[in-house]
Amino acid sequence: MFLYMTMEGLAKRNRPDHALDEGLLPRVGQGDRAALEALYIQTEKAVYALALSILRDPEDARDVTQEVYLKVRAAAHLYVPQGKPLAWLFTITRNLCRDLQRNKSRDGQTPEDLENDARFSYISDPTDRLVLEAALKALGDEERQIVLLHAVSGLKHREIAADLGLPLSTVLSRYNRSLKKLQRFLTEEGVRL
Amino acid sequence: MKEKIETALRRAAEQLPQPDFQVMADTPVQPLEVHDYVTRQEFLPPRRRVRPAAAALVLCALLLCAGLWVYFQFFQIYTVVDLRVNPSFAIELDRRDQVRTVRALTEDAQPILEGRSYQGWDLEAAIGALLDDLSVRGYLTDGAEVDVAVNSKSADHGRDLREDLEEFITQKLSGLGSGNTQVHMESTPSPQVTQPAPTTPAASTPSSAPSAPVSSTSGQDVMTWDEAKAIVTARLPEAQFDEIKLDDDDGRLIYELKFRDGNRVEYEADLDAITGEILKWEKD
Repeated sequence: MFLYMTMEGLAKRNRPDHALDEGLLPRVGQGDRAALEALYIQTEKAVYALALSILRDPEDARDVTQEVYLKVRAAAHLYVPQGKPLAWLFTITRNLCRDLQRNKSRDGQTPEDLENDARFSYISDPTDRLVLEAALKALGDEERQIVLLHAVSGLKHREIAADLGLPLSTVLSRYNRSLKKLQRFLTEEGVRL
Repeated sequence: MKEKIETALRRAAEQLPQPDFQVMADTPVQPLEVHDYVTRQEFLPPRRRVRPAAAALVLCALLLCAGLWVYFQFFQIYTVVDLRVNPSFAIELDRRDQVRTVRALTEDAQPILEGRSYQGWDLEAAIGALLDDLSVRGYLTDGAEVDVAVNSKSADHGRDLREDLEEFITQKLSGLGSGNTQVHMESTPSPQVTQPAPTTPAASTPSSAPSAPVSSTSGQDVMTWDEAKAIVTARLPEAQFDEIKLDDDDGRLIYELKFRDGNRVEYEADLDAITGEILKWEKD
């Protein structure tokens, strides 16, 4: 009995996330503005957090996020349901970020310098600004994605694992490790929370 | 501290420039005819879902196999070694020749086993310990004999074990100063382990239970093992049998018996297997 329950629990963990209604996408593909707005409200924070973690530039992240939804509007009628609609949005986000980074490097633009960066001047609280800058500077690519997706968009670790295609245990351990890294970095920088 | 970091990140991100939904929703877009490299979906192969019931069944089967393996390796009695010095012992072994138990075959063996457990011992260690006890108690005197019978589920294993034991016991007795003690290794199963029985007239090692008499070539019934032993016991009540064979001597079925009396003196007797007539009675 216990063995059966354990196996059943494991099977349930692997089922797709149904928090976001996959049925919105075909309606978006038919030009349904209400469906588009519902999709936007439910996913914009996550898409933006992912774009910001990759590009580390708030304005570029904004532009890419906007472009993501234009692409969704153009291709939603072609979407094949697979149970993970947010994963598709993430795929579009990553592809657009990669294009932007390639274009920037081709134009000779240097990697962003986070020291005394005016891009984060939007943030009024200096501590909040330092924390965000630390997250973008001190963490690795995947660590940044996991931390910002969880902290900024509020996605659960299980949802992040499903949408990024990572094991849940990996997401959990990297998240905890990343926060410890951030804490150490902030302490060394003399930032008190 | 974790919550403070998360809260700081969330507050900071909320203040960053956000896209405008109205602008995005009002921007005209050209629907794609096929996915481009940006919107192309990644199709993962369907994950094989393990049915819990099937997985549980496989696990149970594996546990059963593991359990059976453990039983056959450690618990099944694979070999029995009879050590007869008078006292006599039966040493039951598992497949790895580890002692499962030592039983007393005679009354005088009981005191030697009292309060002792040989379970898990190596066979040679157990026999060595028993011989030590027998020596201390004066059973291994000059002229004494040690009879050993090995009965194993595998004939090859039994044969190998007999050879090893003969060498070991001989050396052990020599070490105990009982070099004159005779060691007899029996090639047939001990009568106490299995009951020998006549199957064919030419058989020297009977293998099945001796219930029904076998007809001789003359059509008369051959007496059973028990009947043959009863004839000997009638003459020597304290006889302890070591070997019983049914042989064909020029067409005459003969029971050849080897046995000992209470003083461990050896005897050999031949009986007519049809009439029960004692053809030979020899005392060593």
